[in-house]
Amino acid sequence: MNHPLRSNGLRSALLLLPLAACTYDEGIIVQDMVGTIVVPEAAATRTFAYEDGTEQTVTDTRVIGPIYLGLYASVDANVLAYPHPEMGPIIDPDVPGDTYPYGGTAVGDVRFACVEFLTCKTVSGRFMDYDAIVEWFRDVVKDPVTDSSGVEVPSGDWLKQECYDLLFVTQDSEVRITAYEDRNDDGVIDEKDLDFVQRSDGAFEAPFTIFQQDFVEGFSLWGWMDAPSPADQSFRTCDPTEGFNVAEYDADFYGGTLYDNLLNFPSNYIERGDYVASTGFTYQSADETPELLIDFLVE
Amino acid sequence: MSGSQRQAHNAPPARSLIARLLGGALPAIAMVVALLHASLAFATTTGALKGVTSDLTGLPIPGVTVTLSGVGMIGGSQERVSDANGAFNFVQLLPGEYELTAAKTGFKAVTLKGIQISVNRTMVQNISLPEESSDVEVVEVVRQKTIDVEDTTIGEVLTKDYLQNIPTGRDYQSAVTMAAGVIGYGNPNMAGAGTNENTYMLDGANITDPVTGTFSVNFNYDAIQQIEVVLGGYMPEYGVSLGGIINLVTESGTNNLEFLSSFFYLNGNWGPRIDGRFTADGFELAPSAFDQSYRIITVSGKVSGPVVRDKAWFIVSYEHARSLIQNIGIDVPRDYDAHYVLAKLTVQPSSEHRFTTFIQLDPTVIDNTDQTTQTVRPEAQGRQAQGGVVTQARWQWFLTPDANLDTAFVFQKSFIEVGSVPCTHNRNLGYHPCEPGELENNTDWTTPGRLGSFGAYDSVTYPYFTFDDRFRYQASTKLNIVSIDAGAFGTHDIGAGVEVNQTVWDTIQGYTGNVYYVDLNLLPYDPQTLVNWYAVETTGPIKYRTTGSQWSTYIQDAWKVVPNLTLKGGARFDRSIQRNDLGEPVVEGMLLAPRAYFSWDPFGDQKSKVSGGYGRFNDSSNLGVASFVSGASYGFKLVYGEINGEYTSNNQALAFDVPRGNDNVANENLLMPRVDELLLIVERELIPDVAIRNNLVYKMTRYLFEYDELNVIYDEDGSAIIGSRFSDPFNTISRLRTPQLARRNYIQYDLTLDKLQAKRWSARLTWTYANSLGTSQSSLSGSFANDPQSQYNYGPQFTDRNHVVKAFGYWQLPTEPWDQTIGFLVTYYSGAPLERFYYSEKDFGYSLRIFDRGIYTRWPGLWEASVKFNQDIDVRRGTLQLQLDLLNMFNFQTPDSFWATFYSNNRMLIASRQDPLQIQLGVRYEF
Repeated sequence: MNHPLRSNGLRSALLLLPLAACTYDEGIIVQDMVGTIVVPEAAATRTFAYEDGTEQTVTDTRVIGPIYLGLYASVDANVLAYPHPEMGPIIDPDVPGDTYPYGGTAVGDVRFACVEFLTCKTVSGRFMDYDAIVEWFRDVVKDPVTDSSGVEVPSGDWLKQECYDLLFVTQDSEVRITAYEDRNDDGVIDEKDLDFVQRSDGAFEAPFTIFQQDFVEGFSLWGWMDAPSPADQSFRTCDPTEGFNVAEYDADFYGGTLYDNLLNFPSNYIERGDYVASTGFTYQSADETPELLIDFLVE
Repeated sequence: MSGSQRQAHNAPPARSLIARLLGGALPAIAMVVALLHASLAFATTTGALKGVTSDLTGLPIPGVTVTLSGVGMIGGSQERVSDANGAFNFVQLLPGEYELTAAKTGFKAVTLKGIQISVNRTMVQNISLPEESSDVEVVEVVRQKTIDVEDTTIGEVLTKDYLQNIPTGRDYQSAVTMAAGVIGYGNPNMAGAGTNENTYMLDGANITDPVTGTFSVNFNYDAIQQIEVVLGGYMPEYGVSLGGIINLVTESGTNNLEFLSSFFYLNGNWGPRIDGRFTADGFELAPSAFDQSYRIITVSGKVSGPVVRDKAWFIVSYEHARSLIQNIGIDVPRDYDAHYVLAKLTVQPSSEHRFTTFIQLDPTVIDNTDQTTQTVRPEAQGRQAQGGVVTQARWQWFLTPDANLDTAFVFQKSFIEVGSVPCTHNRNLGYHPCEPGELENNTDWTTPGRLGSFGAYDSVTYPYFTFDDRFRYQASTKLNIVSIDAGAFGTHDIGAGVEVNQTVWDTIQGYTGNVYYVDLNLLPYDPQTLVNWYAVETTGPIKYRTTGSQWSTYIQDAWKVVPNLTLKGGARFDRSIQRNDLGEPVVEGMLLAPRAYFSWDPFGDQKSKVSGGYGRFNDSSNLGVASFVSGASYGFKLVYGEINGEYTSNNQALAFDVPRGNDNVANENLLMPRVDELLLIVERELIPDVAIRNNLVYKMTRYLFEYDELNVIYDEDGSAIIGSRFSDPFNTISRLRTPQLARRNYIQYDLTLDKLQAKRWSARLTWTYANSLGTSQSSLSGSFANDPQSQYNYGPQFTDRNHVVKAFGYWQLPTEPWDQTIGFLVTYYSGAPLERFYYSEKDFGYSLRIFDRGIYTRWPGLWEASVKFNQDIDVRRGTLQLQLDLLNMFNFQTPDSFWATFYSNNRMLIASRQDPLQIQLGVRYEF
């Protein structure tokens, strides 16, 4: 049954109220800014070379790392070897200038998947379920997930239970690393409810929302993707020495967390193999819904 | 910066959730949350009586001499002569019982006894005079009116009968929970509003805390004459409040010298309370039993009588309240030691003038005040000293019987001093007792405190100290003119008034010794080697002053169009300015609040009523807002010790800016929070003395104060910081706003079966259905800062208790010559939403993020049943009354609050349960 306050009839009746103040303008433009990011197929494709000399090329959302989006004064194509936001003054020669972002968000977070092995290696919105995590590392990466004793994690169910026990939660929506809600309202929770969906041209696209953003006319949206390290599938934007602390039995480690200046000093974290947006999107109005292409491969 | 709250003897105030969550590591951040208010309200402490004189056929009789008298009627009896329509009225009557006599040549005199006058109510009492030859009885005891056909308010008046015979506990904060739509104790939620959104009035003086918006006075329960609880539908005169109004009216005395003394002892040590989870050192225990201290002792005395018969009355009351109450898992009780003094003088030298003045004092010391943290160690025992003075001078000038000018001046100073003390004066608490020469009742300014970390132990308040002084200067005047005859256009009762209110908040806050030590990892610290501890020096106490100025004016009219239809309307205008420590106006607001109601007696028999209408109410004063942008905050100068296994000195990675200012800003276009209210009331007398009442209220609260964080940028779900706009990501910069998104919608339906006092018994049964949805529970909702990167979560609020049942009453047993009364109170509250918190790097722990409010689960429903037995015994010169109360007689121990999360897990730990079975024995002697 609908909640009484959500009843259309009641709402309609209430329209009769003298609520002129509801149109009040605060004088500041703060609104959710939405749009789409597009990652080329190449950014979601990786060739794995195994010890036995074989190779496997995979195109999969699980190759797509976290995307960091920022709103900047402008994007400068010449300041570095890749397009990069305009920087502030360089005070320390060894430290780039601060980009002073107006705001930003991420599409996919590096999120702790409950065993030390996976610290800084798993991104939300990429794995359909826990089996998808276990299978990815076992069958594709060929580096199986292990527990704190070094024993291979047998199944996704085991990993899921570990998360539930460790985080004291009871639902996937509380762990927030697998697909946990029917985002597209098609009645089922499936791969289409992950962050990215592959388009007909092979590229992957995902929606983003920057909540409650102060709008500044002319600022530019720019972003970059932290690609997983070829060596161990970890992400450089994640600090493995911080985050959720697991201290029980013989285990004592941190689950990792994002560095807190990723948008201010992106060049500190961008490395070869990552993708950046070659051009920023310059806003003229807060209602625009840009499609930002993360298409520039950093060599 | 939030202000400290007053506490009552029976429960410590619930601390903000953010304070719980942030713990000892970041008390400065916890202080930031403060958007507080105090509403303006005009004095309404009296009632009125009016009616029509007619013959037995109903034809009006003009020229009837109507005389009103009563033991509580200062100035002596009053006379009126009914006008051409037979109408008469009496105004500005002190609450109590009256007698009405009507006489005219050619008719038999009629005397009506037992007329009850209540605060803010107009008693309609028509008089039918039999002709001289009639043999109709001319003396009668009138029944109470079941239906007040001209009243448009939603609320209740709790009379002395209820206060004495219903088992609610001996404080007004508990008594008001009898009213429908009131949830919680201490500072209740009223009509879905936050605990800081109510107005408290004492004899017409606004005693709402100007800093916290909560109650600011405790006083003698026996001195209360009536409590009016108003939740909506009130006229502009009555003030503003996003929630409700608690209007306390004390006794004024009579021509009789009266004396009352009482002693009450309440013990709640009945059965162990379970689920204590932490020991004094913070170690987790399995659920287990705790010896639970729950004792309250009150001793009170009251003397009232005439100074000059019919001209000047006095009342002096005193109460000493002492309680020892221990929360779950806390190994020592909170020791509350208070003295409440009220002295009041009412003088009416002539029929034209009445002067009233009172002074109220309530000095209190509360040891081990913080019963919500796990441990208060002996060397950092928490103490809260609170108290203050409220005094009022009031002049009522009766220009004519139908017109009066009511002018009042109020001064209030209240103080709250929270800090640690090195020793205790109570040797039974298990603390370090004071040795000769040690500080006993003084707050310790110098001893650095120790904070636990990583579960070692936790203390938020100590060694942090706060010294608060809060002042209120209030002047108001209002003009009332009643029964203005407009001929064919009915009659009008017109009122208008102005009020000026100045509030000041002086505070000093700091850390004892300007340093605090943090112990690490449950291990003993070694002060010589810097092992397992570190210290943080602060820049010293901060002092600041915030001020508020409010002006209000109103005009209103109650237009009696025809005898059975009254239209009420009017508007009030409120203007307020709050200034920060620099004297800069930081919050300015004004609002015109119209109100329009009707009240219709469809059958004209005073046995039915349909009323309703629309009203706007606002939140006009916010000293906490000025504080929020006061430009004063701590600097953290130095961090040293062992951090993460390394010896460091002046560790810049952990040091904050030196010193640190407050960069918070207020949006220039702030609005005054307001609620638009629609209500519909349908009442009908079923049989004499029994009525059924239906109330439907819909409240749309908008533009609550919120802040959003301007500096820190988060990832997609707000759980981790990925950037900052202006400075380092540890420096939060907040902007105060009143966004349209900060809102809530509340609907309440009450169905009440009301049996008024008659035939020795009275009872009331109310079922309330309520729904409370929104993004913000109150103007303090900054505790759930809606930062950039976060959604405004619209969902069930804490007050979303869908079903509430309240039943209470009393029965005077037919056991003469024994005078015995049995009272009862049964309440049921269905569960409320319980929010769940998730790990967030941004908040250094757990906090509420993008998930919808209330999705996790709901609290269990609460039942409580209490009985009271009074036995009166006639003794020399007076009456001795023995009282026995069984509160929560079935000893229900349902959890009523939770620690949403703790330390490194996300379990719902039970923070407290219902108060256990309490037995209270009392003796009262009265003559």
